[in-house]
Amino acid sequence: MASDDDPRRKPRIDGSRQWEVFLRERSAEPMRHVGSVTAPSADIATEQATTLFDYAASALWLCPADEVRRLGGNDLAEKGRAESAGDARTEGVRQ
Amino acid sequence: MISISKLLCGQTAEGDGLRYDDPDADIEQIREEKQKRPVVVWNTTRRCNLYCEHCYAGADLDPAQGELSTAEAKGLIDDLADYDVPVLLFSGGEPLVREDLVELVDYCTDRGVRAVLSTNGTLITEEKAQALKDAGLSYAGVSVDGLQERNDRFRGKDGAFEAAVRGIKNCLSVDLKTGLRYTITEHNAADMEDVVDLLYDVGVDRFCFYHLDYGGRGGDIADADLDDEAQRRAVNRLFDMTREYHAEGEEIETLLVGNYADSAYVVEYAEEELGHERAEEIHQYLRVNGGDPTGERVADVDYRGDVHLTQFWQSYSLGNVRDRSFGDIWDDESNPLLARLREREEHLTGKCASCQYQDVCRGSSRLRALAGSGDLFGPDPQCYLTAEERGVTPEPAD
Repeated sequence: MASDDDPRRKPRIDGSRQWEVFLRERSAEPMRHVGSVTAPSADIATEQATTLFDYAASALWLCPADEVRRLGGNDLAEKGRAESAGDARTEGVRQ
Repeated sequence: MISISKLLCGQTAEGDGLRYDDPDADIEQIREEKQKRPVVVWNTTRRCNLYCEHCYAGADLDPAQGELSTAEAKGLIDDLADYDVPVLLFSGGEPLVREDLVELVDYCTDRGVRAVLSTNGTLITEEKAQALKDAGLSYAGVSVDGLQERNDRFRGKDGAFEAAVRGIKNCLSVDLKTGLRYTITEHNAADMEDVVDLLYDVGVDRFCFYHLDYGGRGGDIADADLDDEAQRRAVNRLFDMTREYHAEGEEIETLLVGNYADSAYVVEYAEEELGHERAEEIHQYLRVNGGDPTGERVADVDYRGDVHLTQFWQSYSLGNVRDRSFGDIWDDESNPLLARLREREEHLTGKCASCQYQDVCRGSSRLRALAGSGDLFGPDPQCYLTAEERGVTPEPAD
C-alpha cells in the first residue's frame, strides 16, 4: 500500500500532525522505529520524542507520518474478509 | 479498576477472576485467572454526536479520514482474538454512529472475545439495545457526568442527560447489563451521590467513577481537576455510600478508575473502619491486582489503528495495526519506553520511589506525571496521600 490512498498517510483533523520516531541507542546499532508522536508543531513533536526517549538514544529522528511511503504491512481487510468467508466463524468459539 | 464494593463489602462480581485472581464459584467469570493479556479499548470512530469538555479522544462532529473499514475492523478483531485478548471495549467518539457496530460486536463475540461498550447512551433506542444484546454484547457503560443541567453543559448539548437516561432504560428493558461512567471533576463532584440514587432507582447497579486524566481535551481542563482534599472527600464519600447501600441490602457495584492512590486510600480507610485484619486482606487483593495498568493490562487502538499505552495517552503511539499485528506491537519490548514502563518500579522518582504503597499503585498515571512535571517517572500530581500515609517519617525539627 504505497499510494496516496494509504490511510496511514491521511492527515489528522484536529490540526496536529503525526511524526514517526526512529531511535539509535549506540552508534554501532541500526536506527529502529519506536512509534510515533502527535503534536501541533515539529518543535513540540521533537520535545515529546525527546522526553520519551532521550535517555535511551544516541540519535533520534522524526519524520512526518504523512510523508512515509509504506510497502507491505498487516492487511487487516484481507484477514477480515478471509475470516468472514471461511469456516473460522462457524468452527466455534475460541476460549 | 478498583472494585470498592468487593474490597469493602465482599461483593462478588464477574471481574473478580480477571482483576484479583479470585473467582467466585457462584458467579460466571470473564476469566478464572488474572489476565495475562490486556483489555483493549478500541476507539471505533472519532465521530461523536456530542462535544464533551473532557473527551480524551478529542472527538468531533465531523467525520475523520482513515477509520478502519468493516473488513479491517474484523481483521483487527481476528488479531486480538488470536492474541487471546479477554475483553474488547467498543468506544469512540460515539461507537453508535458506526452503522456496522452490531455486526462487529457479533463478530467479536463469535471469536470468543467479550464485547463491552462505552457510549454516551443518547443513540440507544430499544431496537438498537436489543440488536446489541442479540449480538452478544455483555455490558454497556453509559457516560453521565452530573445531574441534568451540569451534564448537558459538560456534554455540550441540551437534552443529553434525558437522552442518556432513556438509553439506559432501553438497555435495561432488554436485560442488557448497564452501568454508569462518571468522570469526577470539581464541577460535578457534588452531584455524584444524587446521580447514583437517581440511576439506582432506574435500575442501574454498577457505577464506575473515573478520575480525570490529562489526555485529549481532558488536558485542557486539568485545572478543573479536584485538589487533594476534594479528592479525599469524594473517594471517602463513595466508600461510605457503597457501604450504606450494602447495609440496606442493595448490592450496588462501585469501582474507581484512573488514580491508584485510591488503592492506598482504601487500605487506610479499611484500617480505620474495618480493622487491621480486613485491611491486610484488602491490601493483598490490591497487590494481586497490580496497580496502574498502563502498557500492561490495558491497551488502546484508536480509530486509525494506532496502538496506545492507555486510551488516555493518544499523543504517543507504539505502532499501527495496519503495519503489524496488535500482538507483535504489544510484545515488542525492544521499544525502550514500553520496557521501562513495565519495570517502572526501578525508575520511579520523588515521593513515589519511597512510598509504602508502591506495590498497589505503581506510581499511578504516567501521563499525568508527564503533563505535570515533564518527567515520565516523576510523581503523579494527583496523588493525594499524606506523607504519613505514604509511610514517610518526617525529619525531626532541629
